[in-house]
Amino acid sequence: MEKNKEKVKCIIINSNILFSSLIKEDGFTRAALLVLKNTSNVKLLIPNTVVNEFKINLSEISRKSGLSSKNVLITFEKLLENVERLNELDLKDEIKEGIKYVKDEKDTPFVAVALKYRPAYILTYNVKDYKKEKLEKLDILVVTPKDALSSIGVEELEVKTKNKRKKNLLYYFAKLKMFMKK
Amino acid sequence: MEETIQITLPKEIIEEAKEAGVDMNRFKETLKTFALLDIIARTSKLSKKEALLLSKKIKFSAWKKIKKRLNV
Repeated sequence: MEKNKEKVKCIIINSNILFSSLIKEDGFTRAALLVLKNTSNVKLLIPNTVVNEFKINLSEISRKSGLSSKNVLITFEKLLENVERLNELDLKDEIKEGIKYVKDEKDTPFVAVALKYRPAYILTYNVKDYKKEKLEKLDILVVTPKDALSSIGVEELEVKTKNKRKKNLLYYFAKLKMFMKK
Repeated sequence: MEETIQITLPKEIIEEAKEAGVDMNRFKETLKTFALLDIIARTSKLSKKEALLLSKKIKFSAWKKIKKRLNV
């Protein structure tokens, strides 16, 4: 992937990224999303039906995470602030086409959005769920948060230290600053 | 019970940000958001496996609705 300061990169967020951000130890995913959200040439997108399903299943998410519904909602709202929500009903052709590029149909909406906005990236922890090589031919890359950060020039956001809990917050802060130019 | 706390950012981080020409208001807002999300997540019991299962469930329900609405 090219370095930043070029045209806008459209990145489609898979739901597994948002759920990972609710994991206690996964400060990396939270930081990665905030870095991407604050990078000037990055546009984040998500299928609207997926967002609606979060809200419908809020009580189950709350029960399984042990977090209050209010706090789950705050997390999702903060992470999805300024993330463009796409109505899949306007993407019928892309949905039909997208089915060809996934191993499980339920991942089709993410591909449909990527087809509409390509060149694009699908951000996921399950890269193997997609027919990567075929998508690459269509200018769609399936990437992990770490790969996505590399594409904008951020390396080693994951800090490995014995005092990880003490150090990571400031470490992330220091990295974040690089991408919020006036 | 909710509580408001004050966070002091280390001087060197502020200086670095200023030198890099960062929009300080945006920077501070992002830090506040990150701190809030991190504090919320500290009481989370969600495991990686459960997170993936929840994600699959959400995607499956969403896909069922999309398929029905679009008749694909």
